[in-house]
Amino acid sequence: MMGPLTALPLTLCVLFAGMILVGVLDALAWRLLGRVPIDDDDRLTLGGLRAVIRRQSISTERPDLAAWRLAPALYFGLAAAGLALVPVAVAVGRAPVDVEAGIVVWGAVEALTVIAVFLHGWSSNALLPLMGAYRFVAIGLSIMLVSMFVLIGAALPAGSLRLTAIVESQRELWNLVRQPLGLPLFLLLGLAITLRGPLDYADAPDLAGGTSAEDNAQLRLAWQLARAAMLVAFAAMAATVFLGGPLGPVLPGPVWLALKAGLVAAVLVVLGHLLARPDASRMMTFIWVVLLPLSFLDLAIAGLEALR
Amino acid sequence: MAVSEAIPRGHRQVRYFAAIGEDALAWVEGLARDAGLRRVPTPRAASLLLIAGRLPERSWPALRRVHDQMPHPRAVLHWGEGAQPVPDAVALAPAATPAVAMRALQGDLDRGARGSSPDLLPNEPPAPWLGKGPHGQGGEGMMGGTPYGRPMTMRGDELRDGLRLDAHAVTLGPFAPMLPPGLALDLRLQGDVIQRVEVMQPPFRDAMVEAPFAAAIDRPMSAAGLERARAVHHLRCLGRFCALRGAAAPAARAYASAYRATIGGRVDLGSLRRWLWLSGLRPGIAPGLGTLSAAQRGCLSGPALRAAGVPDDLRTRLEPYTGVGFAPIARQAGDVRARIDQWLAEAAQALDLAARLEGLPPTTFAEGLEGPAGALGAPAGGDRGDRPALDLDALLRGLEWGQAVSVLASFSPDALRRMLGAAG
Amino acid sequence: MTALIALALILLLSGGLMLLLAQVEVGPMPGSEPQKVPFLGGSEPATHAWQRFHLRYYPMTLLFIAFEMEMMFMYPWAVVYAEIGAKALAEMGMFLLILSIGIFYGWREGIFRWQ
Repeated sequence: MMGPLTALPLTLCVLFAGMILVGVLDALAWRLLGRVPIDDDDRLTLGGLRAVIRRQSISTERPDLAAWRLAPALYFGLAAAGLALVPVAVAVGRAPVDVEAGIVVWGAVEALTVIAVFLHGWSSNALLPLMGAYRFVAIGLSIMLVSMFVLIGAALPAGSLRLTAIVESQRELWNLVRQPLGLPLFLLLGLAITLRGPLDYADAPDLAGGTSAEDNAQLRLAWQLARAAMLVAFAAMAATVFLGGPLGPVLPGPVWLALKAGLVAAVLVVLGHLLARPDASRMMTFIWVVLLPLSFLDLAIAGLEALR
Repeated sequence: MAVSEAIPRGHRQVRYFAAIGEDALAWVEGLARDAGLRRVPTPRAASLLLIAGRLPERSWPALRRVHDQMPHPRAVLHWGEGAQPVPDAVALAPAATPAVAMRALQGDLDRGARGSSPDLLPNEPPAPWLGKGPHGQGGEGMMGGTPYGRPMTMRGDELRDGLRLDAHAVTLGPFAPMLPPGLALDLRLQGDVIQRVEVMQPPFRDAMVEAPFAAAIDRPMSAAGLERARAVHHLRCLGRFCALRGAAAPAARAYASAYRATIGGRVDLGSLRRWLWLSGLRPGIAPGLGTLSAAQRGCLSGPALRAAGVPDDLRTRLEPYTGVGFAPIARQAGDVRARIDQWLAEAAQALDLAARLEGLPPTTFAEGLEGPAGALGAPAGGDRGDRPALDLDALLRGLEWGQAVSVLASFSPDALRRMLGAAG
Repeated sequence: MTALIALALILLLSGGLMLLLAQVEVGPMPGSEPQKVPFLGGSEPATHAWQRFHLRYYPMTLLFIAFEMEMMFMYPWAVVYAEIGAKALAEMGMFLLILSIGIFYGWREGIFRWQ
């Protein structure tokens, strides 16, 4: 493990580099896949950056301004903490912060993200954001369970909740192969906590941008930055748990991790543009009645595999 | 005020909020072909307000509010004819292409060469401060205080389980991006569930869609061209629906196909079908969502009527359609899913008809013809005038907001306008 | 323990960084009175948006808590799983089965419906 003095700048540097990549991916996807006449996708493109800086800051009437600022701060802080858990190399140093129960902490990051999104929708004292926040909590809670079962499935062969151990356990076989249902289910969680595509119940076009409908200037910038940061953290975590993280021949570990995480991020961006958002109640039933049993099945497969 | 002539250097992205007036939806949606223009769903994210089309005077107060909600520096462009309430708006003729003007305006704002458009409404609190103390609890308990002139939501009966909870009364529109342009709804909401709906203002006229069809009543028009226009209409409705559901890629395919049909290019709907299938749009819609009651079914027309099991189509009786063996498509369910399927199927059918009717001499349909949203002119059976008006409250009551938006988007804006009983 | 403290520091400091960014106001803040009216597509709100609404997914959250508690048992289980082997798998299978009956019952009762 590194000292906090190394861990923090390292995490932030990786996070910023990743956010630039997310911005490029989003801009590419928008150009190539989905240039639609109404666009809720005000993400971290360079044009987007230019559009928000140097704009006047407006608040709504009687907002909860402290919460409005705190929401992106919490979202971003969670993304940074999540990313700090990820082992960057197989050899020395490993994760910036090597926590013994790494995936439990990641579970907490997922759960607190729901809080950050709700806080964001609540804070402006406006109807459309509030509705987005309200809808999101139901869906965000449900999909989180699915992801936790899948993550536990990844902990079984490692016999540990530590992420470095989970990476180590994938030397012979990636968890992607060991539990084939794991990554697809985990990607759905990624769509939810980064507010994208089919699980974007918070910032959706049917609410004129939902929780970010009232955001402008620095608050819009902060929220969109945090949202991109969460995608980086998620992609790194998915690459670690299912794709062997820094493991790989010839190239150094961090490069492998970056390549794998970049791939996961690209897949997530494409899925976000492709998939349609179901009715909220339909999605909730789908999660509990289809996805959750699938995650049990995934756990059983992982369990049997671990005993082999 | 003049816009500087110089084309700004480099690539500039313009974020605009569109206040869409009469007959202008197609114009605005066409702007999406320009990668430098992004239509954003809220004025908070926009620096340019694009007023498109003629704006009826009754929606001017709403426009003033939307205008003032944009952060400085901001500018206004009026693309179309007629008067509008923003004095320093840059006027642009309907025939002009606004992209250049929009980029130039944005450039002027960025450089500070142009002053920001000032507020139109007086800088007075719409509801003055009445609370006691800086945090405005009012000192009279949760409901007694008036912390900020606007009152708190009062309690009302809950729809399902007989609780008395806050029933939030709110008006949305006429420039709400998730509703058809012009539609203003007075809602009573429980969280995100609709308790009551009242139509404050029906959608604006969108006669541009029907213009070629209406013209064919008086003078000869190419039937192939009309069928292409029908396909364009259906594909655009489909694209709009997908976009509201967050499926940007299929939406973009639908709009791209519509554009290719407009310019007379070859359109392959197979790729759109595959994208729609991949997107999972259809299974995500609850079966039976947006089904009209038997009493209400009489206000349906065109594709929506055929999707509800009534194969009424004037084309079955008209030359040249009878000559190429036209048979109407119909399906039973009459819900949102069926209307989506119907659009796609009828778009494919119209493109096929267009190919078969190509080269025939133009026809005048003096007896009336089948428009994209129902019969036009003087159809033999049943006049449009005696249709009952749609009871939107009965249709949307109890639905979650996202579902309600989907139900509204499953009708074309013009069809919805006529169903709501608006004249003209 | 030091790891957790380091993690908390990272969370607080990066969050603090974003908080600083969110504090940078571009004048004139907070805007004029008509600018501050919440966006409702051109309409003006009659009341505050904050309200006491029906938490429609409330029964679902109770089910969720049951599963979250279950998760507490799963973490230690995952660590010792490889040592105990098939017995552990069978035990957890039974546990999940019992909870699944709960989901099934809830589904039948319509707790995943919105209204």
